[in-house]
Amino acid sequence: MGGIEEKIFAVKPTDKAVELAHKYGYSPWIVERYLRMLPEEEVYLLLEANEKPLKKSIRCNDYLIKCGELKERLGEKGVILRKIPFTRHGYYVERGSDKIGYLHEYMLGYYYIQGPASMIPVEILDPRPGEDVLDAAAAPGGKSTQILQHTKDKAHLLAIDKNRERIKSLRSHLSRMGFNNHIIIRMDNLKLPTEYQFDKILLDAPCSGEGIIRKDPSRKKSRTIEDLKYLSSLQIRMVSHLSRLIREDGVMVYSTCTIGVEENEYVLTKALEHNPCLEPVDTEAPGSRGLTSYSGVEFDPRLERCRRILPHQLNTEGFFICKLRRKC
Amino acid sequence: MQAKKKMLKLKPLKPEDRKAVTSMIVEVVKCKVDKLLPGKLYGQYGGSHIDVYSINESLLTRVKQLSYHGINPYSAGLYTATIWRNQKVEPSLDLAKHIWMKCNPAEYRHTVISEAGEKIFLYGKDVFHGNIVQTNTEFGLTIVTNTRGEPLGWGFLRRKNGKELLIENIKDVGWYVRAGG
Repeated sequence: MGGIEEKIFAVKPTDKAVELAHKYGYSPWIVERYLRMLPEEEVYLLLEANEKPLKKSIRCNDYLIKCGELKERLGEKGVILRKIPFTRHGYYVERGSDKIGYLHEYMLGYYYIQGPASMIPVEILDPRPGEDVLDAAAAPGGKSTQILQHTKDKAHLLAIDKNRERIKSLRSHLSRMGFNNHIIIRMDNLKLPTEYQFDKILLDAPCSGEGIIRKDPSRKKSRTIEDLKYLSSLQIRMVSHLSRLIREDGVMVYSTCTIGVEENEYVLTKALEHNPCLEPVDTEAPGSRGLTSYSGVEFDPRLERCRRILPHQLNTEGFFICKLRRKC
Repeated sequence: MQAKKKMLKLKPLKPEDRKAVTSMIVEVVKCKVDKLLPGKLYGQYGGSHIDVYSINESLLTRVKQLSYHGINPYSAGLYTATIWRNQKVEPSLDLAKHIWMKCNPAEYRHTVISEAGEKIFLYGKDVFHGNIVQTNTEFGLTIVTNTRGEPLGWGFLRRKNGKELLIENIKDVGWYVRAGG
């Protein structure tokens, strides 16, 4: 496997990559990977899409308010919403986006400010009332609140994060949005004992955040390939450990707000090797299918069941989502 | 010398603390506390104050399992109140929302404030009589609502100099923006 790692992480930018990186302000190695992943014309579309700021969006909390009523109330305050077609409760903020973090409706917990693609992992996880659900990297709480929203506060949620400051936000958002059926733990999810079993696990893994360049353009240059190596090794350990906590026939959704193979297909190929009971499952999620080969490396072919959402496809942030079932 | 790190421990609420919390709740709500709250009262002991949670059976099983492995939750269940060192019990915003969701408005003390009052209250300020639209109590702890009946937080209703009504802000949902994160 050392050979595979070498092929993936040894990125020598071509002249084309250097030219595009210069034009769009990226580190050349980042663009080189896009050229290896996508047809050249699509790389242009991706780089162009990343130049446009991401339109703000919210997730309506239908546990506390009917979404139609929220839309009307915000409309009266000059905030115009438009439904995001591929999400259940998502709305683009067409007008008045500067206010959305301060409105009384926000304080009352009627919505959460969240990127459109970021709403998809929980929809794919599809938590049900009565299920034991783990949100393994939960802060600041977007997906934890969404899990309890989907189950009308009736799933038993264990939300874990190790960051002291961000965990305060997690608790605050759960409180603001009216959810009580949760336990919050501040700890490293790698230390969670394997005796604990869950019906559903969400691992929205810590990642390099290449998918959110539209929100934070500094990410065009701020990361190195060494960062990716570190992150992918952490992600492999997380998936491998947490996969032991899924009940038989239970589900884990792995997601990242990054689009490279290093933190996605490569991580999952390694995790599938470690745990043969894991089986990728096809989903209705939008986006392109997972890659099965890249730069001369063959990934587990079942990973084509995963989804990669690129910013130019649906005018969102970039995301990768994969649903895994534990079959034994 | 390095200060010893405080170890918090989530434990069943001590009888005197339970009494203090339930007294606060029955002051405001007519419905039975056992029926109102989702589960048993637990307190996060060991710090400068006690955060009180009502934990249902399913969560409690998990809390005990975690405790067996030496893992103490940061929080669990419905955050109900905080008991301060001076024994003062401060109800949580979560409790206000829970009461609003579970009870009929006639069953709990509430004070309605005007739209202008709402803005003031959500900045963490007190609200004076001109912005108090209606109340079903004369004095004391009250849930403060807007004219739609939505819970904005907790206040203490009293008469200023024995005359005009005043709501002292105890905690309001503006806190989520000011400090909540």
